[in-house]
Amino acid sequence: MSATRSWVKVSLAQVVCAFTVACAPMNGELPEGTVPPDTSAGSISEPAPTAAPPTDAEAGETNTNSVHDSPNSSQASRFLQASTFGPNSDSIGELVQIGYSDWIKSQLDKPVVSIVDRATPILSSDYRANAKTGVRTHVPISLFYENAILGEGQLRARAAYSLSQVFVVSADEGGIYFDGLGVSRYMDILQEGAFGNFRDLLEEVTYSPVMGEFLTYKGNRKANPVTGAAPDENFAREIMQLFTIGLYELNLDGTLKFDEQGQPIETYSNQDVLELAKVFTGLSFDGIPFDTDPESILSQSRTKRMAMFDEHHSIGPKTFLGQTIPATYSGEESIERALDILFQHPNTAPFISRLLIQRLTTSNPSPSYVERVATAFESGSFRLPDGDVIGSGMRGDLPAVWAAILLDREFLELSEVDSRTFGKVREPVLRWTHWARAANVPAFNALSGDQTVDELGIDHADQGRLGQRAFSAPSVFNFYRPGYIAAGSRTAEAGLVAPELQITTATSVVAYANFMVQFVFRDPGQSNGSGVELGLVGDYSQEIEIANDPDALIERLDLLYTAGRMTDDTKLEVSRVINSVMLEDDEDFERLRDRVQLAVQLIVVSPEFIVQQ
Amino acid sequence: MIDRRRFLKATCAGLGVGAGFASNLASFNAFASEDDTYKALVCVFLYGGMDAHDTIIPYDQSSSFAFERIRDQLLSGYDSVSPRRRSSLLALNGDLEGRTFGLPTELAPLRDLYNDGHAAVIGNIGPLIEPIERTAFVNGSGIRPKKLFSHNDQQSTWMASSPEGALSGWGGRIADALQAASLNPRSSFSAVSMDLNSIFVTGNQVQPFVTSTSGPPELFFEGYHRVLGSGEFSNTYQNMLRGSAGVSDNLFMEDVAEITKRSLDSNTLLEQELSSSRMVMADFPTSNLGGQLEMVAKIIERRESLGLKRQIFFVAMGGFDTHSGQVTKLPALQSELAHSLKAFYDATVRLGIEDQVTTFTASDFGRTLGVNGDGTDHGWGAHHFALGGAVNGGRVYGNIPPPEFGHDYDAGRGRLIPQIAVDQYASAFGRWFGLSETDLHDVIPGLKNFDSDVLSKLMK
Repeated sequence: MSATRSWVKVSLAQVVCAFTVACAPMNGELPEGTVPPDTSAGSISEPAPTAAPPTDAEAGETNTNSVHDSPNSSQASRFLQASTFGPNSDSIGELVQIGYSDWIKSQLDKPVVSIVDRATPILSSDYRANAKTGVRTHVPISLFYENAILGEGQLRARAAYSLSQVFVVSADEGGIYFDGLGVSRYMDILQEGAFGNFRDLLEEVTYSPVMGEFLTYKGNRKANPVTGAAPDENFAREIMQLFTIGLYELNLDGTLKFDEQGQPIETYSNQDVLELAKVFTGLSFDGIPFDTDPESILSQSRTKRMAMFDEHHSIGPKTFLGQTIPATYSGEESIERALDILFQHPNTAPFISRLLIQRLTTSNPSPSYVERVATAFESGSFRLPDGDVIGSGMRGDLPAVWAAILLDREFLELSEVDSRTFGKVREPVLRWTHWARAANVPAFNALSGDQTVDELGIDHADQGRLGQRAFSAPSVFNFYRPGYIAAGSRTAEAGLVAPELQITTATSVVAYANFMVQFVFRDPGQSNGSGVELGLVGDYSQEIEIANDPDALIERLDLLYTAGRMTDDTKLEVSRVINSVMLEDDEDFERLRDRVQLAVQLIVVSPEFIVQQ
Repeated sequence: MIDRRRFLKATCAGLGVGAGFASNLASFNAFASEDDTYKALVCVFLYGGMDAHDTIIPYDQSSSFAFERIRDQLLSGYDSVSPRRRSSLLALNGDLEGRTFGLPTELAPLRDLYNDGHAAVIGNIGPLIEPIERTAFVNGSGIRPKKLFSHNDQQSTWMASSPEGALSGWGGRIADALQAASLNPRSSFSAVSMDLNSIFVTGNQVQPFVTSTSGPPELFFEGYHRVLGSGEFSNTYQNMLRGSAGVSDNLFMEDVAEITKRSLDSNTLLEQELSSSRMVMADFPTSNLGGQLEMVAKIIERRESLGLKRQIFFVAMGGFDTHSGQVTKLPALQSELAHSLKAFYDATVRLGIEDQVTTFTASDFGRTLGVNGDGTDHGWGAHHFALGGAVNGGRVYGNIPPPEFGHDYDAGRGRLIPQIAVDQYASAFGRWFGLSETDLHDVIPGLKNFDSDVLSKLMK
């Protein structure tokens, strides 16, 4: 193990905050958007009956790390579904060998693989110039997928991707569509921030020109009493609603607080938005005049933090959330103070913790799970199963948060009872990268200019294709909402949210299956219509070796793709198809490969693969 | 061609929907029984919050003067791309107590429909719990909808009367009522969304069928036909997709299997219907919204063999959240909107059912009258269009407040406090669909707080 980080031992008392907050009678319910209990919409304000938190056997002692440290291979595969872009035989082997604690520590040492550094040489020319595709955001998105599929720093990459669904910007947005460098830098901000502190990340995001463009506060001016123009409110609203505190006051466990009338308590008013909007005035590209036409901006300004132009910053005090930023503060000081207020707000830890849990392990974490993760957020540290403590000890330490999410007993020690309600539908991006990793696609270079680039960077968001493209959500509200309930579904009956079902439609289910066919059945040397050799070809050599034995093949695929959770009936169906491919002899590689491809395609459309339990 | 950029800067595909609260379906029995001609409602949702102030524009001299003073920054920007000063506007017939209104040139097709009597303007409409004016709004004495000015919550409030997390939308509940009244023997297509799983068309029983501009996709078997000439793989593959391989112990897996199964069945049925369509749809614009409405027209054309008497459709376009760059963004959006709506109306004329199809617009909210530099911010009330042969068109319903600050319906910075509730809008369409007053109040519970007369003449 690398020793470049210091694993400070601290006492348990420092790690764990007191659990004194009363738990409101709502379980697994989304903080924002929750229907108040007095409305007719009673069915989701009932406690989710089967999502009861694990009992604290050791009440009073909140050792969050009572989980064992040595997964078997199925457990390892399941863990890697949540913590990476998909398991493969190497990563499963490594995790089984070293255990959870060392795996986390090893991953925390992996460096950032900069997207900007690689994108710059091909994007530093004119803003719109790109002879190949004309769409320069293809470049960072291709590099993102390359890193997701091939990168060593899987936890960092997955963490950054999760953050990209909280601090949402979209390459589909008009003003960003061509800004390949800006998006590249934004990806790096998330990668760097993923293993840093939430407060620092919040600041980097705030000063990012891409976010400034997306939420329209780049070039935002102070009020003009002559014209009646007022500061743009967009970022002020969304940084509160989506990036930090949410709409309603929360307990540490993510449940709602209620007022004397039994109503949820709104965290902010429109007046707070108006005041905070004044804070985010005066920011624009660094190194050039304020609010210059974006298309003329030089590339180096796109990768720098925005600069504060104090002459355009609102004068006067700004009062929001009950606190006042004095008029004497400069623009940058005002922002610093505003971000501190949001960061220190008691909602931020549970609000962010719940969102990140939903991205990694389960759509409906119990209040106690949220509370344990929020506690790690607040204490800035987390004790691993081997006793080492990670984290800086500062509020907002994100490595502690990732570890707390992934090593929580609710996830790792799934009981029979919980297994019915635990888990999440995996979004299309994760299913696709999982296939690519499990199938051991050979190393490729996303910038090589061959067909691979197009396949990685094209608009997968189209419902006719994969149905989702990283960094290309339709709006700041992401691809799906954390509180989405699929009407008429079994999960809805049980009071469970299922965000990813929001993008599951009669079109997308077919499009996904068809999209996967194009990759699963691709053979080496296969060309597209223009004679260009196709990349992203599955290397099934290890599976082909055992494909003469259907049971052995299924067992291996079950481990790689479904974490050992394939049902007997599914195995039977897969086995029937495998057996229907007759072999000339054991050296009949073409038929053996057919067997593998057919089996894999069947598995990637099975509910056991689509759902991560 | 499909517009692959999808909804640039769309606000939120994101709406919470949910399983139904118990609804007394026994009450949905009062359709006017003789009214069994086909009818369809089409909701055109404009994600992001369309600036109504920049849509129905003051036209009489003095209002225009006041408006141009407040909006000078935007109008100067418009001068070189889409002139919107008085002399460039397209006048609408009629007036409100002497005040007249015009549309920007991009909305020319809507102006024609309006002046021909096929389209109406509904002024200052938005979500309301009860009637409220500025004083009560400012001092907090009036009850206001929750989470005003927030995109996702106001989208949900428009469609489903409560913020994100709502369980069903009024379009879906109307579809529930239709199903209970046995007007639609096959319910798969009684509620259709061309966007994602929109809550507007989600009922307590009825789930929307979601499709796209290219219609239902077919499963792709190319890769394995070379392997298995027989149907062996094909059958197993479909079984696997439908989750019929095994009973799962996990609710998410059950949902995935069930949704997939339902989708494959509906896709197959619709594909069969569309392939037997004889209709030629030559005149739709190639825009995304044009494509969506073209598909709606194609589905409507199959109404008889689908066995449907009532259908509710949801189509959407995004990009209206014009905090900045309004003068470059809005004209293109309005042009797409107006040309697509006109093409759709023309298609219903060609089908001979223009009196049986009513289309209406909706949006998160209107925007501030005040400018933030080069755009506008989130508002509340807005002005909308209803069109179709059954609409008493050529006039403005409700009020269009004057272009000034501080009047009785200004919530601040010219965010309009609505004077017509969405519930009243919904009930006008519900009545036209044949719902009884009892059913209407079940479908739209908030209706009881309003005098329903204001839109009683909207529909013929």
